[in-house]
Amino acid sequence: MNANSSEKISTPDFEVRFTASERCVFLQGSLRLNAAPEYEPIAELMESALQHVASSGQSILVVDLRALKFLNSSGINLLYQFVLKVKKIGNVGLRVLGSSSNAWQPKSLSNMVKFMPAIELEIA
Amino acid sequence: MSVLGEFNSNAQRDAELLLTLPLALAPWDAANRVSVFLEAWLSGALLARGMASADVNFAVNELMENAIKYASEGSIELTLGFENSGLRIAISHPVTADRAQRYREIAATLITDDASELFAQIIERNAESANAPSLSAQPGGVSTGAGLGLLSLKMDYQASLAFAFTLDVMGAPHVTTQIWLPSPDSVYVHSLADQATRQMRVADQATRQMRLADQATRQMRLADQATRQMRLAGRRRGKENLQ
Repeated sequence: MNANSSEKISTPDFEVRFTASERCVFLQGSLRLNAAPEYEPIAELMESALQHVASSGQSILVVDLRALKFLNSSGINLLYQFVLKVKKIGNVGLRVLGSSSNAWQPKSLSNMVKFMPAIELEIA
Repeated sequence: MSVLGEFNSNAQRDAELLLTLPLALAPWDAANRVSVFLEAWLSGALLARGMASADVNFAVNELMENAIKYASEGSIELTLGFENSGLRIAISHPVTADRAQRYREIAATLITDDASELFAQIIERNAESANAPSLSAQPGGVSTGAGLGLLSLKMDYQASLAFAFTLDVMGAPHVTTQIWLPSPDSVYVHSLADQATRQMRVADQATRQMRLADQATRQMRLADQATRQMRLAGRRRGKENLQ
């Protein structure tokens, strides 16, 4: 993956995209997939984004959730699994961007700090 | 019937809305469609109570997802009703005996365990089995993630959870999951009630002190009378001595 490349999973309901130049994974729309197996392709995209950032010596990966209006509990599990993966790698920081206009975000994202105290969680 | 948590047996009778969905007509997408419909349907009533309609969308979606995953046959019954400045949502469906047992274990843990510790346990356990296929894909199995939605409702939405396990007329096991979502008003009502209790306590103390003051006044009056009578007696004795 070069600096200008981008990886994307897109359906009428949601889009997940990694933009290497911004070191950012964008999740948008409404994600209500059925349990971990259906979330696997998204988990893989996010993991490859993490590997890309780690191997290119960059210090931080951004996960932008500001346009993610809905996420079911299996999706919440996906995000927390990702937080654990970033923490395990150790040398990459994580910034998570949310918005309080998505009612679930102030409620369900704040626990991330307990899993990774160094996380930069910004819910505007 | 065995019950876990504060189960309201009248929830179905008192419900303002009842939906019966035959499982055959409930593909995975039904969870989404029903929750979006109910969010829109109730938006005015929720707004009037200061409740976020998106919270109801999340709650109904989680209950519907669980029901679609774990119901064995027949229909899913969903009821909603406003109760004690909050919204009670109940979902009921048949389950196999195996799943009823597993569901009961999960329900008991959800009711009794500390929510944030349980959340950490589930997330870490899911990380360990990340590449293993979900148990829900196996017949009769319940996903390791089962309960995460209900746990999220308890932990992040301050919902109270309750469960009932019953047998229907044919002797088939049936499970009902209830959640009660509080409105900000109910928190407000509680704090008003607390304030009133505190003020009544202060008023009680004041009443007691006034009663004590009254007693003291009465005793001072009695003491005055005694002094006067002693003075009169003294004067009488003086007169007697002079005579």
